[in-house]
Formats: sequence, C-alpha cells, structure tokens
Amino acid sequence: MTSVAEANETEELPAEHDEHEHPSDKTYWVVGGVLAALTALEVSTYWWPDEWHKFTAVTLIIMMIIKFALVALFFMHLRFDDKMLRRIFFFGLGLALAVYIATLSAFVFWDDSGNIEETYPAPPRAKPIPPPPTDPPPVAE
Amino acid sequence: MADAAVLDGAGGHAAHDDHAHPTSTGISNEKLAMWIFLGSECLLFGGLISTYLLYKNRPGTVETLVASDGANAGTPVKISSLFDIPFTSVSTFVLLASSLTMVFAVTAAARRDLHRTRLWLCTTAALGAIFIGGQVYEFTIFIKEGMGFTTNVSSSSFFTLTGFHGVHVSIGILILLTVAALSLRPHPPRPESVEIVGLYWHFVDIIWIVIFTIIYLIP
Amino acid sequence: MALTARTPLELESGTSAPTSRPLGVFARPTATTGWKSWFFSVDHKKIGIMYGVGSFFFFLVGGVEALMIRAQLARPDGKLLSADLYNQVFTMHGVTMVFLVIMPMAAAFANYLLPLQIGARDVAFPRLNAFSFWAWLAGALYFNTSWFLGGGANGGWFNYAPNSGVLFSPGHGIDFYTTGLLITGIASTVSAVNLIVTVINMRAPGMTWFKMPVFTWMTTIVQFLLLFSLPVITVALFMLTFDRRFGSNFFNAALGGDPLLWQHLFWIFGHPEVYILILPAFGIASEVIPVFSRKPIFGYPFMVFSGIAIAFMGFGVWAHHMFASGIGPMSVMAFSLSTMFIAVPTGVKILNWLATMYGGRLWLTTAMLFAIGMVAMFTIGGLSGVTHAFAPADTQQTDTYYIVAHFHYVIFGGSVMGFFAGFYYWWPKVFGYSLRERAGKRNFWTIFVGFNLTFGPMHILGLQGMSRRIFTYSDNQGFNTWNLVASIGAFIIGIGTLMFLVNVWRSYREHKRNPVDPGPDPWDARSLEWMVQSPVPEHNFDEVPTVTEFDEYWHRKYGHDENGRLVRIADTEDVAQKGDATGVHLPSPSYWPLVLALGLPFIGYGVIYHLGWAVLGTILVLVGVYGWILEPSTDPDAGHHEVHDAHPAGDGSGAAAELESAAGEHETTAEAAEAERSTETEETPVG
Repeated sequence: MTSVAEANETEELPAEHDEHEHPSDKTYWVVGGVLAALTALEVSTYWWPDEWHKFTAVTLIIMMIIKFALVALFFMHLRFDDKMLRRIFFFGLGLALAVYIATLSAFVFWDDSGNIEETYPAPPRAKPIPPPPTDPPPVAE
Repeated sequence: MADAAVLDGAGGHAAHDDHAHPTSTGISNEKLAMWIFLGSECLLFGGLISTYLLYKNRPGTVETLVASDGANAGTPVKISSLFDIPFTSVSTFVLLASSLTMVFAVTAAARRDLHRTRLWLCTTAALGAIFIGGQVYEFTIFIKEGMGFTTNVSSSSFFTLTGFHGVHVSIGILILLTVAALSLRPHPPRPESVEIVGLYWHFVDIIWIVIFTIIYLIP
Repeated sequence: MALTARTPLELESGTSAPTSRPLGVFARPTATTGWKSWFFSVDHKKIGIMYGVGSFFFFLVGGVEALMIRAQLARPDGKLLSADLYNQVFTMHGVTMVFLVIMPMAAAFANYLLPLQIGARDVAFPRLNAFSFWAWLAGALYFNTSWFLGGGANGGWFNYAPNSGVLFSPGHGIDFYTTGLLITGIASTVSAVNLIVTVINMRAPGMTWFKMPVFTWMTTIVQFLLLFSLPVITVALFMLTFDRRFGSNFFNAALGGDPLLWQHLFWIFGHPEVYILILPAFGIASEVIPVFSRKPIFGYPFMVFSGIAIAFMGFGVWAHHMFASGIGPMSVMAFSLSTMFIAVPTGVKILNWLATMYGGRLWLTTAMLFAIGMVAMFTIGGLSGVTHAFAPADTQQTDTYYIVAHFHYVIFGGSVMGFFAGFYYWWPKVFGYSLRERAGKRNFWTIFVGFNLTFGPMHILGLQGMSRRIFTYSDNQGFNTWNLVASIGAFIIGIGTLMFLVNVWRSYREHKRNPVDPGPDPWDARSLEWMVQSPVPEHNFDEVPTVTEFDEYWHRKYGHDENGRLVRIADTEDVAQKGDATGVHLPSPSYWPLVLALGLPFIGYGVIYHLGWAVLGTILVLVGVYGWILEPSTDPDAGHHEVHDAHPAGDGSGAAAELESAAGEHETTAEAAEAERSTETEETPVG
C-alpha cells in the first residue's frame, strides 16, 4: 500500500516522526482528485461487458484497496502519525478480514452462486414426496 | 515504540501547546481512543458485510417478491437487481467530497482559523446530510418496489448493513454540528478535537468505499 | 480552531470561585461521603469496588440459580422445576455467571489495580469509566427484570437458532437476552478502549512494556480481546433482535436464513470470550504465586508472550464449538489442529507457575492456596479441553455433562478460584484490613472439596451419556449416584461462599473493635500498588515513582551484597509512600455518566414493549451526552491545593481529566450510537 501511496505523493516522508507535520492543502487536492478519478473509473465498470465479470471484480477490488489506503494514509494521517495507531487500526482490519473470510469459507460461498440450494441440490429421494397443493415458485437463477 | 518513549518530564511534547500533558507514547489519549474504537468498528462492519455477502443470492422461496416481467418473470427478486448505480454513484461522490471538506476543516483548525473551521465543518455536515437524504430516497424506492426490510434475507441484510452505515453517518453529522457549535463558546475545543472527529468521519467514508464496491458494483 | 490558553488548573490560593453550574441548572456533585460520593464518583478505585460488589451480588444470584438446577437434578424425576422453568434457570445461570459475574469481576480487579500497577493516578477517561460501570449495572439489572416480566431467557447461553426464534421462544426472555447483552457490550467496549488507552499512554516514567506486572499484561490482553470480539456478537445480537422484533429472517432456515451464521458469529466472539474469562485469573495467579513463593515469576517474557499467543490463537479456533454442526471436513480439520496448538501457550503458563513455586519458600496463605488450587483445577479443565480438540471424541462429548464438567473446571476452578485468590491477596490493600487467615483456609478447603464433588462426577455422567440441559432423568438410566454427589457438592460450594461472606463480616467487625493496620505491604510484595498506603489514598501516589526494573517495588526493598547474596536494603516504611500528598489534582465527580447509562435500559424496554420507552431512553442518553460535553471534566471549583504535583509527567489523572472533555464526547457519542441504533431500527422501513 505504501508504494501506491508514494506514487501519488510528492512530499517526502518526514524524517522524524512528528504528529504536527501535516501534508499541504495541495496534497489533499491531489489525493481528492485521484479518489474522484478512481471512483469514476469504478462507476464506469457498470457498463463494462458482462463477459469481463471476473476481471471487473478484480479491478474493482484493487481500486477499492487503493482508495481505502489513500483515505486512511492521507486524510486520516496514518502515514504521518505514530506507528502505534497504524498497528492498532490495521490489526483490527486484518483480523476482521481473516475471521470473516474464514467464516464465509465455511459456508458455500466461493462457488459462483453462493446459494447452497443450487450448488448442492438435495439428493433425489427414494420415494418421491407428494407434490404440494400449489406449485412453489421456481428457484432463482 | 513505547518502550523507548519513556516519559520525558515536562519537556518535549509540552512545547506543543495543544499537547500540554505528555503521555507515554506522545499520542493524545483521545486520538488513541478513537483509533482503538475504529479498529473495533472494523469487525462490526466486517460482520455486516459478510452477512450480506452470504445472503445476497438467497432471495428465499416463500412469500418473496417475484419479478413480473422481463426475462426473469416469475423468479424471486434479490435486492441487488434493484440497485440504481448512477444514483448511488452520485451519493458516493458526495460522501467522498465530504471527506475532502473534512480535511480542510482539520487544516483550518490547525491554523487556528475558527471561522473557516466552522465553515468547513458545516459543509461537511451538509454533504453528509445530502448523502443520508439520498439513502432515504433509495430506501423509499426499494420499498415502493415491494422490497422491504423483511421481504427476504438479501433485503434484510442489505438494509441492516446500509442502515448501520447510515446511522454512523447521522451520528457523524450530529458530532460535526456539535463541534461547530462548541467552537462558538469562549473556550472552543482544541484543534485536535476536529482532527479526531475527522477520523471518525473518514472512517465512515472508507466503509462506504468498501460497501460501494463490494455491495453495489461487483457483478 | 483558535486555541485559547489552557485555563490554569489551580486557582490562586485564597481565591474563591463562583459555583459552576453546567447548563445553568445543576451544580456538580461534591459529596465525599455517603452514597453520593459513590454514585457520582469517577475514581477508578471506587468504581472498581462497585464493580466488585455488583458482580458478587450477581454471583449470589447465579449461585442460587445453580443450586436450583442441582436441587432439581439431585434425584431422578425431580419435580422442583418444570421443564420450561428449568430452561430459564440454566440459561440465566450461564448468562449471569459469564456476563454479570466473571467479566465484571475481572473489570473490578482491572479498574482497581491496573492504574496502580502502572503508576497512574486514574484511568485515561475517568468519566467514561464511570459510564462503563453504570451501563453494565443498568444492563445487568435490566436483563434480570425479565424474571418479573414473563420469564427469563431460555435458549441456553449460546442461544442457537431455531430455539432463539419467536416460534420456539415466544416470550420476551430472549429479547431481554439480546438487548441486555448489547447494553453490557457497550459497557465492556467503552471500558476496553479506556483501559487500553490507560496502559498505552499513562505508564509511570520508566514503566516500559516489559516492566509491567503480569496482571497488567493479562488485563490488557483481555481488553484487546473484548475490543475485537464484542463487535462480532453485537452484529449477531442485532440480527437476532431484528428477527424477533421486526420480522426479518436472518436465522430462519425456512425462509433463506442460516442458523449456522449465528453459530459462527457467536463463537467468533465466544471463544475469545473464554480467554476473556480466564486470562484475568491467570494474571492474578501470576501476582500471587511469586509473592508467596518469595521468588520472581519464572520466565516473565514467556508468560507475557504466551498470553499474547493465546489471544491471537483464540480468534482462530472458534469452530471447535461446532464440530457437531456439520461444518464440513476441511473446517473440522483446520479448527481441530488450531485447537490443539492453543494448548501449547497455556501449558507454558502452567509450567511457569510450577517453576516459580519450585525451590521457593512457599508461604501457604489463603490467597496462595486459592492460586495453587486455580492452577491445579485449571490444568484438569485444560486437559479435558484438549480432548475436545479431537473431532471424533468431541462429537461424542458435545452437549453432554462432560462439556459441563470441562468448562466449570476452567471457569469455576480457574476464574472463580483465581478471583478468590485475588480477594484474599488484595483485600488489605483495598479495605485496610486483612481477612482472617484461619477462616480463609477453611473457606478454601470447603470450596475446593465442594467444587470437585460437584464437577468431578459430571465427567463420568457425561461419558455415560447424560445430556446437558436435560431437565430430569429417570431412575433406571444409571445417573442417580453421581447426580446426588454433584448436588451435595453444589451445596457445599454454597456454604463455602457464605463462609467467605461471614469471614468478611467478622474480619470487618474485628477490625472495627481492634484496628490493626496491615500497613502498605503486608505480604512483602513486588508490584507498585503495595508501595502506597492501605487503603489506597484517593490520589494513589504522592509522587509517581520512576521505574527502573520489573518488580520495581521489590527491587527497592531488596538488593545483593558483595557476595551476591540477596539482602534487604530498605524497610517497607522507608520505601512506601506516606499518602499525605496535597496538591494533587483529581478528576471531579459527575452526574452525566449515570444519566447516560440510565437511558440504555429504557431503550431496551422500548424495543421490547413500546416505542415510547425508547424515546424516553434516547432523551436520557442525549441529555447525558450533552451534559457531559458541556461540563468541564475538572471542576474549576474543586478542592484545589497550593502545590501542584511536583511531577507533571506523572500527572496522568489531571492530563486525562482535562483532555477527556474534548474527545470523551466523541467517544461516548459514538458509543451512544450503539444504543441509539436500537431505537434507530424502529424506524427502519419494514416491508
């Protein structure tokens, strides 16, 4: 993430940690501009062809990470603040990612549909169950 | 880290007038507390987002909203098919802009420019309010379409996630206005208070960055 | 924002200031005696004592519930409780013991001792600390009012779907469970943030991370666990509330919901919770055992790092609670392995306690007995816990009395015994008189014997196949003998608990008749809290000590002579502080934490009964928040002194107090947000 941040950053990292070393207004405008541009790009994916959906998803996630990092590191000053703050926040973030990705993996999630009824249809029964009085609506695609 | 940062008496940080009392790490208590709280909030929103991801393709089988026309006629509708991306994009830009104005409130506060600080704080709050207005409008449209909170689990988890985010934004607006009002008092809050409020506000924004990508955009 | 010069904390000597009336209505509370001095106090020591009294009260409540369970199960076909009432009693027993006894009792020790052990004058945010306590108490009482409003929760403490749904639990018990736990969760989160900031930011000069006492370390780790695990259960509890009150179907399998999601979310919180319950007792044992072995703790860095390792790994083992839920072979294998690994750091700790005692001159006081008892009982519980790591064995043991035996060995044998060790050890420090040792030892042996009689036989019952949570059994199932033994044991524990109360009462009376000052350091102890007078003066330290070593206080008393032999170099009286300092500025008492906390249960009632209550609660919360913001945290009129603290660096409380007014408000507002969310949901569009 730092390398990404550096690409958009003209200032040098302060040699000595000082909380009061804030980037200039110009930096904020640049960061804000990059964020806006990325968001515009994100929105444009809405009109990208459907066949690209895997590529689109990956691109979107990368752009999301860049935006997240820009706001956290510049707007929230994490880049210029004490290491302690960065550690606490990114620890929480990392823990959330780890725990919830593990949880989702325990479900049928990474399959395309994410719907257990579709991915693992109930096995055929030896004796067919009598049809319900009215037909249930068909299951969604 | 802190092992090295032994308290150095009245010197050091005391030189900064908004840091009259040194702490073991040199970070003020409030800022540290806000970051710790935000670390905790990551797990809150992580849980809500995961729930939505788990449920988004489960339109349910009973008593659900059923598409009436088009290719999918007769199949249950999940909430993502109702998203209006262009409209939400505008909301997203508004919230993003509010983050930028928040930054300017913080720099104005750091310059001790009370007047500008108030101005930027109120701008930020106004942009936040526009975002909330957009969200309320979006919810109203969904409900009009027949997709209410209890229609199916995909809609329940969507409304819960975006609702929690909306409540966070609303509370943020309240705090912004409170700080702006407090700055009218003879003893206005320290510049750092604005920065800490800003942390909360930016956090709400980055959560929206995640929600917008993962919930709205990823096909 | 224009920075005005900070108003001086002290007024000129002899200047009288007008009484400040925040909002123009209320004067600040000023009482130093009577109930007002407790209700509006922001002193971490008073709050700690209130936490202790409150959680001991709920210990008795939960104990009575436990005795009702054992009375019902003493004989086959028990008739004392109906099946439904039995469900309520065991659920309330579990929830009470976990959330209203062990967690707040740990908070009591943490509040009282943590600032003292790191050489601070108070916690970072004294008013938030008061709010944590009152919110916890409000939530605890609120939760227990369910007994009078149609019956308590009845879904077990982990409250699985579908039993937690309206269909199977139509009463309001589970609504009280969800909202009550949300309120106590707010309290714990606030307290966790507060204590973490305190430890990170308010250590005395020289108190580096690896000079902190083990108790402080363990408590800090617990606060991190709380911080990161509570939001997960918060999500689950909100979803369950929405399911039950607003008609969503998050956990209703019939309509697309997934009951397993509740289990995952609950145990992502629930397993760290297990370490939240036990680590404070580990910390207490790590303080008591070195003092009464006359040796420094063995392998201090290993102690600390194993605690950190337990915390890390604690987030990666949750699904071993779900081996019987059908989570798939991959998950079972992964969580089985991680569960086996987590036994390693725990084993390191047990080894270190034994090695600390090995070769030491053991002084078998009551506190030491309880600490040794804790280590021994926890080892048994830990070993039976390892058997759960093996999925094939676990699927046999799940939901039998074997599990009940296991976690009572860990939680009663571990945590509660640890707390009793803490009571006997720190009692003279907190109250200025010692508990009688002879009675204490009788107390220990009664509890120890009763405990093993109660929970030892449950291993056998469980392996024989007796189901957990079954309200009765019949004569011919072969469960009669051990159930009777367990019930007798339970009543012996009850007697042991009463013996503790009698001991407290009689020691107090004896102290009143014939006061014996225990002095600052009755046990020849090692950490900083023993350096101040007993009971601890309101300002804690006359002069904040500069720390140079781990076990700083002990090193001030003992040194080495030229032959390298350990010799006493200073008397306690010379090293200990006199407690007579003047000129220490302390945070002023406040009404607002109490007002804010009082709003929360009303919001809860609003969610369950009528929106009007929630409106009232929200008004109280808002009044509390804004009263809080508008009130300077340190009253300019409060008792000021001629001399300011000579060590501004250590003037933690003052710093905290002043700084608090600014960001305390944001923090609380954000926290109050949690409370307000529950009202907010009322307005969520319901389709």
